[in-house]
Amino acid sequence: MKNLKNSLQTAIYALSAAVVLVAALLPVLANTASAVAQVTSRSITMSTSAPSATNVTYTTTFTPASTTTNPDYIVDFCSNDPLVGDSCTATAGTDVPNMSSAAVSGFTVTTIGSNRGIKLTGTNTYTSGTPKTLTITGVTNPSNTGTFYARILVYANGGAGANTSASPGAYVDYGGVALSTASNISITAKVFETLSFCVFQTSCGTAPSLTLGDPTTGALSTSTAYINSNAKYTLATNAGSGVTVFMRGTTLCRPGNAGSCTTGTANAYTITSQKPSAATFSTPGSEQFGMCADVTGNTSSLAATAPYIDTANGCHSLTTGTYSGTSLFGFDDDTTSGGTNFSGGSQVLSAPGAVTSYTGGFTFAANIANTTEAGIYQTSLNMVATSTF
Amino acid sequence: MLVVVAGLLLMRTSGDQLLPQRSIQIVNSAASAVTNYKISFNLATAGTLGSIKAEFCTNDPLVDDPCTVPAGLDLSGATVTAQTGETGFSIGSGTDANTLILSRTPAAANAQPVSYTLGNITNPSIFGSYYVRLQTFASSDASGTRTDHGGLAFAINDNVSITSKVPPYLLFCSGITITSFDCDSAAGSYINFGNFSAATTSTAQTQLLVATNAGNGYDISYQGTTLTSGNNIIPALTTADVSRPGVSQFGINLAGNQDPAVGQEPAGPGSGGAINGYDQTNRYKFVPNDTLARSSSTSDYKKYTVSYIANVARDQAAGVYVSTLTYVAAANF
Repeated sequence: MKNLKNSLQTAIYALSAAVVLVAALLPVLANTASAVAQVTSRSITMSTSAPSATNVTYTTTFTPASTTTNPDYIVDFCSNDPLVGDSCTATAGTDVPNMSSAAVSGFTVTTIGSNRGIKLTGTNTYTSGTPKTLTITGVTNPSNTGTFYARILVYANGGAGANTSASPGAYVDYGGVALSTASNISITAKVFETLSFCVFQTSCGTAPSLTLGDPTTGALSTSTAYINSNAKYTLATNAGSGVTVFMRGTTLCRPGNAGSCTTGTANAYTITSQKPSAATFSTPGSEQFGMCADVTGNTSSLAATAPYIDTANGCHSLTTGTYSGTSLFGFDDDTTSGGTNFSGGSQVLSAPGAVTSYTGGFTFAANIANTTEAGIYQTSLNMVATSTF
Repeated sequence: MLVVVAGLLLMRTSGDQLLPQRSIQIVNSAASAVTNYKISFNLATAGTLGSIKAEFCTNDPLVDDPCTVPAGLDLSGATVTAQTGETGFSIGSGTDANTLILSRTPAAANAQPVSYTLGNITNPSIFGSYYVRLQTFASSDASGTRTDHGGLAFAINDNVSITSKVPPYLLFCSGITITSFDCDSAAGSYINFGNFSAATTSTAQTQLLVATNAGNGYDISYQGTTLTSGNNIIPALTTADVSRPGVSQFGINLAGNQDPAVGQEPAGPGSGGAINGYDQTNRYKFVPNDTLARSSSTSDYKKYTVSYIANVARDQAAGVYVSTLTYVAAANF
């Protein structure tokens, strides 16, 4: 009887021990064999990878392996490896991000591991095979450049507790992600101010020297007008506030004493300029000297200024020699503002902004009267381009 | 993960700003011309301003680049002729052929438009594009850290030279009649007084047309003799006198006369007129080689009508009296 009793007690103890052993092993079996799985298609996209960048957004995406109702999450950053259960080497803000200001919409965020990671709790869906995205804002990147790792753990609702990736407890899904910070590539480009303005006859560098009159004798006539369209210009600038071209000089002049054409100089004679408005040169026998500027085809809002605007033909396709057409020419040689004898000159061209390289022309025209004094008439006109940058 | 940040930084160094609304206006852009430059810009930064440095280069307007000095440019004699906005500047030490220092006692400055007109600058000697590097400083000698900066560009150009010729001309013709102002219409050169009478004055007229672009005008003179028949003459009026029938006399003038009714006043748009007494109505004279009409400037068409009168005394010898007159126009260029 005693032996029977001892045998029963031994059996009860053995059974009790077995129950205790089973109870102790169940958590291990549940994690390793029945529910734990690795999330797939894992990634974390940083809005900037610059070291020490603040307010960075880490967009964390993965595909759940299981379905869980309102799970908890841990996103833990370590510098040594992404393996759940390994010790985690991390100094927030130095070799891993500082998550102290991190936030995820719809979740309660709690930092873990001295701000190296976060725990998320809240109502959310977590369905096997349906990609899950956690947008973590307010992250400060590590100051070091190089690789660091994120360990993602998914727990049953309320299961995250005080766990970390190094001491993960019972989780349902997990995964690791590698990230890296890198110095920005800074590119500096310089675009310096440009103004190219060339007045020429055949090509830039050939000074325009024009004969206005009969092609053989160079003489003007009281019976026909003459034009010369051989002065060209090329203008280009990147000035954002535009460019103006001013002209200085006199009308055609036969110099007087001391070779001067200054108004009032003894024995100086001029051919009266066509001002203040442009006009046709269809009345030979009356003194006229004028010019028009061709801006045809420019793509930069480059425009001629009155009285150098030929409203009839745009000063375009004019030739050299006698002329009886309808183009309009003008030349303001006043000594007051706006005139070619004023210190600031007379505005010929303008554009409100940058000018793409354009080649146009200036055409000059003249008529004389019976009383136009005999002699050789000349002028030297200086064109000045001024850009405002 | 690599994020590339690309940025265009326009000539900006840390700490200073780009001067906005920058421009340089040259009065004369011809190569080697001595002229004025006007530099304008807006101060970007309010604060102490003591100097402005403008460095002229051929290679680029970038303030930190090496500068290639423009050939022929000379700023060393530059003067400040006008200034607006922040004023009180004069040419500072350190100014040389291609570097201009505007200096003043450092003072507070507003961020505002400024301009400086500089005289006695010799342009570069080669046409093309050139650049200016502007910098502002708190110090009066352009030392220390610059406050702001900016670049400028300008172009040196060839002038447009135009030559025209106005050939000299003198238009002059004579005839009994000249229609309008057309020498082609001049007709006749022979006057027939008919038979002289002691009771009435014989008259006739011819016309002269003149025009010239001689700057000093024209002179018309005449040569010839009084009416002559062999050894007999009708005396010329050596001084101007009225017509006296019954007194032998021969004279001319260029007026519109009533006594007798002959001739016309000069007509036409031209300048000039009768002189030496030939302009007196009803008074006549005849002095060969006299200048009878003159203009001191160019003249459009001017038509003169020459009136001739002849009187004879009762004892004037009979005969056929003739005279040949030659009119000469000379232009004074």
